[in-house]
Amino acid sequence: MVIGFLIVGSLVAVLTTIGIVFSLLFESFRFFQLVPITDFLFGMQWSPQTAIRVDQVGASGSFGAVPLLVGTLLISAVALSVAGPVGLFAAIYIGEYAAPSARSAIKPTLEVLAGIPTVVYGLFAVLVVAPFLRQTGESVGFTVSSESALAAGIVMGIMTIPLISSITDDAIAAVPNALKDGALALGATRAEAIRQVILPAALPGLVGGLLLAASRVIGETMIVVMAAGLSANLTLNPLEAVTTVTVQIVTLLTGDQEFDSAKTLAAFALGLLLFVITFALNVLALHIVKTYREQYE
Amino acid sequence: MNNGERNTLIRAGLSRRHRGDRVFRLAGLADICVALAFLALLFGSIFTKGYTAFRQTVVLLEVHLDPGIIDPLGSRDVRALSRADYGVLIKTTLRDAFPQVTTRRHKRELYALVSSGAAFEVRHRVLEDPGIVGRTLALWVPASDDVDMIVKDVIPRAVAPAVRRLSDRQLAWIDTLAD
Repeated sequence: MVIGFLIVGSLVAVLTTIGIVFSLLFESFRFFQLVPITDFLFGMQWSPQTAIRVDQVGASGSFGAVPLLVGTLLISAVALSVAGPVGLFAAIYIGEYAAPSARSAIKPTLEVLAGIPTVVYGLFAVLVVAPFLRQTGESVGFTVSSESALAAGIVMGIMTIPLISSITDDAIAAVPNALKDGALALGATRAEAIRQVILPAALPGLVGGLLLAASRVIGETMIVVMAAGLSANLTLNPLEAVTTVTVQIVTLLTGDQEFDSAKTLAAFALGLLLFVITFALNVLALHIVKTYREQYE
Repeated sequence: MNNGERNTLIRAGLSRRHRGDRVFRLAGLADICVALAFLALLFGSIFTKGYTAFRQTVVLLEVHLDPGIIDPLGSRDVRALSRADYGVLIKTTLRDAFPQVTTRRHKRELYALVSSGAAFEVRHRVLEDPGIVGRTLALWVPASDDVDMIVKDVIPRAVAPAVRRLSDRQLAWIDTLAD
């Protein structure tokens, strides 16, 4: 009886996943019949329009995903360069230096960051961070867009800090105590023990965690919908407005849609692209963790 | 290398190594402060930007509930009471409060001080107790959104008249009402 429930439950989960993947695959296949897959993957121009009338101006849309991917990676890079160091050092301090009382105060406070809804982060990015960056930029002579990749990336990074710090915490805690004690017993300072013994031993967990954080950041939607731009812009300058894969999926599928136009089906191709990227990152993360994990035991 | 030499060697590097330890520790502390500062900034900005939404600017009006307008037939029927034109009552009240306002344009500016919801406030009172028809009611009604923004100083008065949504005349009336 119980086993029956368990089987049904796991089947539902598995079948749902398979269903999602197949619906992405089928709709993407239909899209690639309208737009060649090479145009999609290597095209430099993203302008998803389709004609209502035959003789319309700008009737042929262009569906090159490169600007969206570059925008996504740019914002993710900003986010990870905020969250990575801050999360890592915060976790090291909490785990290795802080007194137990400080630890029990700081840790839950940082976890609050993980509990804030992403829409509130989006609001924060739009109303506080972006205007601040623009004014600061203007006062030192830079032109900063109101929807700069920097603003969205920083706020996304803040959101990711607790994820990185809890992963770091786990990875460090998993290092055998004997290693640390041995280093300290040989006269290493705490910093030396951490840098030369604990971090190398925890490295697989750290890298795996960073990749998980990356796939989370790449798939994040609400913050970029609110704070990043809408028009595709192929640039590596974080002060300019860029758009992301997730933002385009939202704009393509908001409202009433016709499901035989390339414009709508493009959203599924983008979804598939996103899925492939995050899936690859997750597999890579698991592989790294698995391969190098038990080195010291 | 004997023990003495070894100890000198270790001592020589000791202060440098301890400094490295302190720097590392401070880096951790600084990053925690950064994260907590972000958290404080986030909550701080949300509260400072958001708290005014819980406050409303209201205007005290002495509304005469004229039975000739609310219920000309004198039936006190709920349907008649709920359909009456309460906006006229608000407008009359405002005109009485500022008798110096005469031209059509200025009157329209005067009416714009009070929220369009004010009439519903009066209607709600009347429906609650139809017995008050004919009396004069002292009622706090919401100010219009433009007035609200000026009073809360979200939009400063110093904004140039050309881009401002309220005229100098209206600002003067607000001051009169505030007194």
